[in-house]
Amino acid sequence: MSDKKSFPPASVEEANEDRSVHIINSRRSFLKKAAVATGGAIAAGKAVAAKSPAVDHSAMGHEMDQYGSMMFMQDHSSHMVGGKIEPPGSPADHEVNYKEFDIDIRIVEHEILPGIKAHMFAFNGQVPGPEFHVTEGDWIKVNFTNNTEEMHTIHWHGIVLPYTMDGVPMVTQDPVHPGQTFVYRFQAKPAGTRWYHCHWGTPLHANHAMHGAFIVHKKKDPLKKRFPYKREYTLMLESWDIDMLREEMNEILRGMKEVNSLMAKGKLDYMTHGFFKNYGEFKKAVESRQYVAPYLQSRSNGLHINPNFFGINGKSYPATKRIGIKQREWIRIRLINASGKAHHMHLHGHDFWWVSQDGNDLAEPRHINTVHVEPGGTYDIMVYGDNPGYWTFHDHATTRVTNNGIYPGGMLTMLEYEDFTPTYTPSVSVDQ
Amino acid sequence: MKQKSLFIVVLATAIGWSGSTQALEVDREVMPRVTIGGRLITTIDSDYEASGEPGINMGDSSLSVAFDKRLFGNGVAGAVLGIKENEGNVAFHQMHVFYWNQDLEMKAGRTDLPNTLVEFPLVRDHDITSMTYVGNGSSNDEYDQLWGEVFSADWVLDQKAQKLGIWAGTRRNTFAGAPDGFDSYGLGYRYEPSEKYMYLNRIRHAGIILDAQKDRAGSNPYFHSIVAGGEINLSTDPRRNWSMAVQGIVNSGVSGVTLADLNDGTNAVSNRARAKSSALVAAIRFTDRPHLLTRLQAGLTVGYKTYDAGGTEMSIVPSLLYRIGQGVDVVAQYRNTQYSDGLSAVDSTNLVQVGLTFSLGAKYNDSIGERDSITNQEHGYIR
Repeated sequence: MSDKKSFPPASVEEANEDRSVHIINSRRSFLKKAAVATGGAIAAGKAVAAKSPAVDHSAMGHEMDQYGSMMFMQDHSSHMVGGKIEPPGSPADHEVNYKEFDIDIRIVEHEILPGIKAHMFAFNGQVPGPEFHVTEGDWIKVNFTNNTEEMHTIHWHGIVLPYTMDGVPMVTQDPVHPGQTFVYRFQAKPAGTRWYHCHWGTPLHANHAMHGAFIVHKKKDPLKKRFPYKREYTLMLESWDIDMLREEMNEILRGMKEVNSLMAKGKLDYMTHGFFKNYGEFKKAVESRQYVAPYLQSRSNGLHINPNFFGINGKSYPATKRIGIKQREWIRIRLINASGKAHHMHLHGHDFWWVSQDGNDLAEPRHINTVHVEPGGTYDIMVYGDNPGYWTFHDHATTRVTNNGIYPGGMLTMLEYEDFTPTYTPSVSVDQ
Repeated sequence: MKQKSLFIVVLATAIGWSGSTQALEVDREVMPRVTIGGRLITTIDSDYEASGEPGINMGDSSLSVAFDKRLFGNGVAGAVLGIKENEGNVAFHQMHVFYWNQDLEMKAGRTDLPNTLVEFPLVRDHDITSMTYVGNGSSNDEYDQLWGEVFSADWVLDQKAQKLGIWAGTRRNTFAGAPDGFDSYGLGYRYEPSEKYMYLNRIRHAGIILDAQKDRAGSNPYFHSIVAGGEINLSTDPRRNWSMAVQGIVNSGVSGVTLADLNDGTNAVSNRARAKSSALVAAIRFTDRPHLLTRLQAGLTVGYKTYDAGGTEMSIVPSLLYRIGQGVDVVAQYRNTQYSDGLSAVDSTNLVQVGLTFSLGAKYNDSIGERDSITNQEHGYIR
């Protein structure tokens, strides 16, 4: 649903609909044809995925079916501009039925709440990124294109997959360079509330906007027996230091303009880029003072992140979208902490059931009204509609229920009953 | 406004400020952004033709503090206070208020005169000023050639790099019968991309400005100078960068300035500023930035100036800067200047300078950002 339709904000469910990709771009039939056409070449690689035309592994001194970093190739920079990277580790396109998604990263002006905008790296231009809904066992193919001047990856948080698809720069893959497309292929498992985020420059990238939900549904959810929910909501918990974000983003882009300029000319050597073949080479470069590492006190006073805005699904209260519920209805709320801070989500007027942590169902659900959501963690709760009214749902670390230090705001939304006659209706106050 | 005592000036300023704010409350909840910038430069100078004895030179050292805040509507406003060493005393070279938004930059108060376009690879701003700045015909003080009371407005034509500016100002006049009010006017066009693209664009910056200055003698009206120049990157390699800077100044001067006036022991500086003349300065700059971290800059600057009344001067200035820490540089410079037609008591002077500079730049409470940031210029302007 578009923003126009959802004004004033109606529910988190609508927000979720906005961001959901739900197999938005399945191109299996086309790819099957393509696989047939190139079947001979792919078959020669056996279980190894198709090799990117931009990657000439022989130049690295490796065998053709091996995969390694291109950063240390003699002329690596010429390989880094544009191109498509398809790492090995997962079945080829013709071997399984992939559900295929396109996702990119770009810089957008994102409005956190009226009067407060910030430039952010955003998946498909959205904060948070598109929400994936897939079924356990599905084969997933994600074409990730970097439309910024910075480098990025995608880490699939909580998914058990081949390590070459894990999205950790210089550990499992090269960072995705400007203009490149990196193809992630993996099977959606295990089921549960998972998420994805950039793993390059994580404090800036992942914690500030480059994150999204990756929901792996079970074919038959046993939780529905005890908690027969039909509606579910995903709440990504976020925090932003918009001043650090602005300054750091500009500093990174300034540096990357120079890096990209060298790269385009084929003149970038890996040390200029800040990469080293191994720890010994790095240690030697630092100790010889050839390389003045950016963490040294002579280069930096440190990156100090002090979030001044907190939010849910890209917005701070009162711009956050509401959670709708009806009397005698069960709803499921999936909480994902992308903020890097711990949050203590408290629901007024209800005890809810905490049923799942990190995507995995608890052996015994717990009946509570405040759930502690650790950084990176996902927590699922079930709420039963037995107390009609308007009920705030917020971080009980109250400094996070502020906008730029002014209460109320931040990480706060509302559980709204949709089928009762109110005697008092909520209004808006942002200066208490 | 040169003051003998920093303490008195600061106290007087503080009293003035506190008095002016009594009528209205100041919002306690909005701390201004505070930007501190400064440079302390100490060189050991050896001037062979003068005393022959080396001495310590701290000239051009300065400290400035800027305060600014976002406004309720569009834009940012603030104030700058800056002090500079001037022949053993402290002078306020910056004391102005400013305003900017996406399309406009304005300032009013004591600040840099808009009378030059290019920063050459020289150790100090005031090296070879007679060739690089439009001089002040009403003062012989070295610093009065660089600073004055200015009201300026620059329109950012494309919201990025092209600026069309006008200004009116008062140059300090040390002669009797000094005119009150504005005595200088100017306009100009400047192409100034953000310094973030310094090593990447072929043109670093360029411009042309017209400077009109009232002559100190009542019988003469204004004399005019045209300044044109810029700097281009010979290579756009951000690791080993070569650039070339050129600036020319043509001064219409006033009639009646003679060679004797140019050699006037007391008023030579101001007389040369009001003499019909032409100056051309060119420089080659090499910057070495291994790992994209500036470590060395070498420059060669050559300047030539000729006066219609007779006489020429030519300077050759090789300089070297070696960075030993962020903002900490070892510097060395040699300056040879040759004179003709008796413009100097000697035909040539030679100055060797070796020293250390310490520069600082610190920002506090920054909730504003910069008008010309990359994100603002390339990804939508956030006011």
